[in-house]
Amino acid sequence: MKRTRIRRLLAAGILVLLLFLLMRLTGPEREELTVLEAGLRDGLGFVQAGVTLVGNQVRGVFQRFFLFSGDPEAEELRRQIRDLEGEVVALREYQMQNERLRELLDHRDENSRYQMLTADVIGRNPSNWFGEIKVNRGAHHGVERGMAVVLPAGLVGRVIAVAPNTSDVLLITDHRSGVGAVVQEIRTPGVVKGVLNRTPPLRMVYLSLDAEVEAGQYVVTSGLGLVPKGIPVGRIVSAQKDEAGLTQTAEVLALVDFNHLEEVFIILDSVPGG
Amino acid sequence: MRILLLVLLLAVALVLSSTVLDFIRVAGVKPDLVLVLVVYYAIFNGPRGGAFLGFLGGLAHDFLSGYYLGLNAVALAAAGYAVGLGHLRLFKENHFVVAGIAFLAIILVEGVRYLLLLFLGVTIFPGEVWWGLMIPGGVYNAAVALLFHRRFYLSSTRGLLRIP
Repeated sequence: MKRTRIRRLLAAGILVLLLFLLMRLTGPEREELTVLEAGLRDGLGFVQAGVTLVGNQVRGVFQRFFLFSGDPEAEELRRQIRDLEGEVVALREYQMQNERLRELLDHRDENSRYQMLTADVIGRNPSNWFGEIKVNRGAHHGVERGMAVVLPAGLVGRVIAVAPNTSDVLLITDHRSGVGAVVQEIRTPGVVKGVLNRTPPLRMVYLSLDAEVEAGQYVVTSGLGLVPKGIPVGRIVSAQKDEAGLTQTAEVLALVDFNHLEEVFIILDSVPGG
Repeated sequence: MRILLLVLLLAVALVLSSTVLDFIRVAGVKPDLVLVLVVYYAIFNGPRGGAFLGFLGGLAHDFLSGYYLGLNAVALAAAGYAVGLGHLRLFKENHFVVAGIAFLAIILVEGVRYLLLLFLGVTIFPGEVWWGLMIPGGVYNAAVALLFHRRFYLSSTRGLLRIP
């Protein structure tokens, strides 16, 4: 009896140790997925795409008949406002960039050269811990790890894993995400990080202490890293000094509505050779 | 038949979690249907059954997520085992007892996930986990457990999920 118990405990211990090892080996920082993982993702992708499609239709019906999350017309108008807000920030960024570059007599409008690929959102990470979506475009469509994912309203995230027909996108609201950004009006650089299940879901850190950061200012990508420059990210809600008193941190409201993502654009030339 | 039904329920819970449950997020969280299922099952079947279903559901959850394989398997197996320990002492007919257990199970699961993520090098402020995940998640899942308890209770005592 006692020996059986010890054996069971030993087996459970070995299993937990093996799982710990597996956890270590399967983090998202890996460059490539194994053949088994890629196959599994694509296979599950079909099921998820079907359920997401049905879910979107059901949501539409609920909204139409029961005003489940607001009038559909009002929601459409809200979406348009977000898109237009993003476009205004992007246009303002182009204008400022134009002025700067004209001064330098070296005008290169990089933003017009983006090659975009439309992708449908077919699934999400089932956990509350991670902000990830799955899209129905993969290596066969030219998608590569690191590519930026956007909407007219602004930055959505970046591709972190690619299977032949599907890809995983890490949202900027995920607590593991960090994007180089600047406050548009004052050109102060910082890093936009995701915050776990918070509203506003973004935080801009490492802002210079003497920068005049104020609520209402917009944040755009700085171009450091793989995400192209000038993509709208969000609007600053508040700013305060850090506890150490060396930098400032701003709470940022994202311009993209991450709870209702249905289609996104992947910027194919956001990685070298992409 | 019973096992098939459980596997089917787990599959439905996982597919819903990875697709449409995002539309019903409250305070930033969505319900953890797999955990609610594990809690129901552990209450009626004890620690070994609870840990087994938790492990199975967690592993499937991990494969669907695609990263940190084993994270949810360990967390949900621990919750299933802990809830199952009380299966002879708990008044499982009472909806509110089950809702309270679901609340505590979420605290335990998220606590284990937090510690495992720390072990994997993912650092998050404990305050964000407590106020952003554990409390809203606990309340939401307790409400979900309350909603389906009667159906699960009847199925476990007289229906398809009854132990033969």
